[in-house]
Amino acid sequence: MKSIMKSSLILTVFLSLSPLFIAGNAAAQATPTSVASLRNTNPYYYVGRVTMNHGSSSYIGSGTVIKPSSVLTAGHNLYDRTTGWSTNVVFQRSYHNGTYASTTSASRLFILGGYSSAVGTYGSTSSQAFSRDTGGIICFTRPMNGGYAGWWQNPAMLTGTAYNMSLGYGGVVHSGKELLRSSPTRVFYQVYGAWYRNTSYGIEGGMSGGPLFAQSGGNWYVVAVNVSGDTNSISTGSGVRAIDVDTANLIKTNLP
Amino acid sequence: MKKHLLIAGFVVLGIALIVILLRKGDALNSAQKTPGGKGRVENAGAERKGANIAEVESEVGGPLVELPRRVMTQPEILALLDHVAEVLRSGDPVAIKQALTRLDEVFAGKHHDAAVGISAIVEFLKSGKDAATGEGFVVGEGGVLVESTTLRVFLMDQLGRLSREAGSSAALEVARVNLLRPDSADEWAVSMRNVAWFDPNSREFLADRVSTMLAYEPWRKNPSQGMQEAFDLIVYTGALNTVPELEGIMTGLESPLGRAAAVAMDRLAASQPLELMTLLNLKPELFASTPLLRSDLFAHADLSNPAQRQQAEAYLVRPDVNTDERGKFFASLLQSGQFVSHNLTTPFTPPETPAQAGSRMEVLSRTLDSWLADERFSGFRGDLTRIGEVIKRIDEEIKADAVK
Repeated sequence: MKSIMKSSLILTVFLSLSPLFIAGNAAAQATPTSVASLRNTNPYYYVGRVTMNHGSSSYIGSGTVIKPSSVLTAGHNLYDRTTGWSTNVVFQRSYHNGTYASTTSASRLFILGGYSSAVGTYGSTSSQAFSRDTGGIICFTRPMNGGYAGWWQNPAMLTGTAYNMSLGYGGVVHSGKELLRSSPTRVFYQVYGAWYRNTSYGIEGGMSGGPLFAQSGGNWYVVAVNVSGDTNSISTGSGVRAIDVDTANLIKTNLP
Repeated sequence: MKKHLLIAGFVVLGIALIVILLRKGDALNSAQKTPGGKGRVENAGAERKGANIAEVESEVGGPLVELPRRVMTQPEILALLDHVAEVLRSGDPVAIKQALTRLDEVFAGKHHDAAVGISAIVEFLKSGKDAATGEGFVVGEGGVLVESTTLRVFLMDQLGRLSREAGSSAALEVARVNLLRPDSADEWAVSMRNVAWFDPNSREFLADRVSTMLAYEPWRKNPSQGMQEAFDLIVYTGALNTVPELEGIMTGLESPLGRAAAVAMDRLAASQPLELMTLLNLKPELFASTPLLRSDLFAHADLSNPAQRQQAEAYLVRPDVNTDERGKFFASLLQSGQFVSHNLTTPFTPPETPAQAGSRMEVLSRTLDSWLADERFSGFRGDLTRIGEVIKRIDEEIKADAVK
């Protein structure tokens, strides 16, 4: 695969490594719907199921291959204030009902955030703060033979006219065994910092850490990570953490 | 008749041409005058007196729009700072952003002079004047602030940077005075950073100031971002005496300080694994109510280091460490975590590379083999076998990936 990289003075753009593919049926879907049939196509094939333990409890989350050995996910998939760092973290790309394109164990978990990430205009409790954090998994192996999703540090892709879709493995209403997609009918609004919300569509538990893809010029870019939603929800109200400058720098410079 | 009309026409045309040329001359002059503005900046203080923000900002090439293309004098900078304070009080985010950008130019731009900047900042700070910026307290690369909550915090940050540039002790002196009284947590945060920058022998002093900060109830009740960022000084000073306090904050009610304490503990464990493990083994009551958090702290052990391995082994055979805690410890040795951020005093540490992970796995694999043969650990041989199987599976994954 050839990597195509573009950059401008203002925005850093990493183009997808895969050939262009226009997703079928890419229309607004306010509630998560199965796109299992698309899981081996661009950009769905960069997404996988993340399983982890918090103490003795097992959980499901989602993630995206963002560098050859790195998976982007939500911080709260990786840390809990009472049980600490998650254990037995495994990423299964293109997971579907017990099958997957690849499986890999995490060698290192990280949360992009420091001492004061808890402060926000809306909610300052630690859990909410962690949920706004971007997290990542460094894998022992390369989940996609060196390939990885395109990403873009550009919040305008959330607040403008670009088509957006959240992907992930919802395990509240759905089984957590198939890839789901939902997409907003209205634009996102900024809540605080890199945290954006949208009340026109929902994500359900398990989709946390999955990507919010935006389409531009026929290409797909990860522009944010799913981090919050209503507790039971496939109703309305989703929050994403946009790829900001720090995240962009980390992906570009430090992730293997 | 025709001749007269022709002459009159030429005269009218000539007059019109003269008028046009004269007007063009005015236009050119005014255009040439516009970019100047040195005089305006020099007299900025006088001009601003009594004028409201809108009037000030509507002036052509107002003091914040155009800075002189030369080093500004101390009085000019002081006048500008007064003006910026006024703009900040206006609450207009666009004007505030512009004002702070101009100050950045004054203190770090092409025409800045570190000594003059230091002198102006010290003088302004003495005045006690201040205004909120509406921004957060955000730490960037190298501990330099990318957002400051107040003008004074902004200036203290600039003072630190300029003092470094000029080899001056001004930032250290101002910081030490500031740290005598708990007026502002954010000012304390940047002051402690400045002390750390300029006095390598200040760890004891800073550890004492951190303890004072943690104990100061008004700040604890409403912790500012700066106070939370100042938890980095705990890591910088290696203040293990704060561990019981941090444990209390982490295990208490959920709060922003809980997050700061968790990050500080995790980093203390990473930066001082031997000292922290020794303390935790000596005082088993620490983290007794949150054993899974304790196991994370021990999982930072470098098992290739004999002293650290000894402490890890002492932990494993402790009677108060149960199966769940031990299981978490083993699992976290495989997949340890880290917080990644820019910090006031400690360096940015990127996530571990695959090569580093590979070395860690080799050490872990050898250690597990020796633990399996060690009678002291016979009580949890099953756990050791299970983690050994995971390592074997990962090893197979790595080998399979290498041949792709």
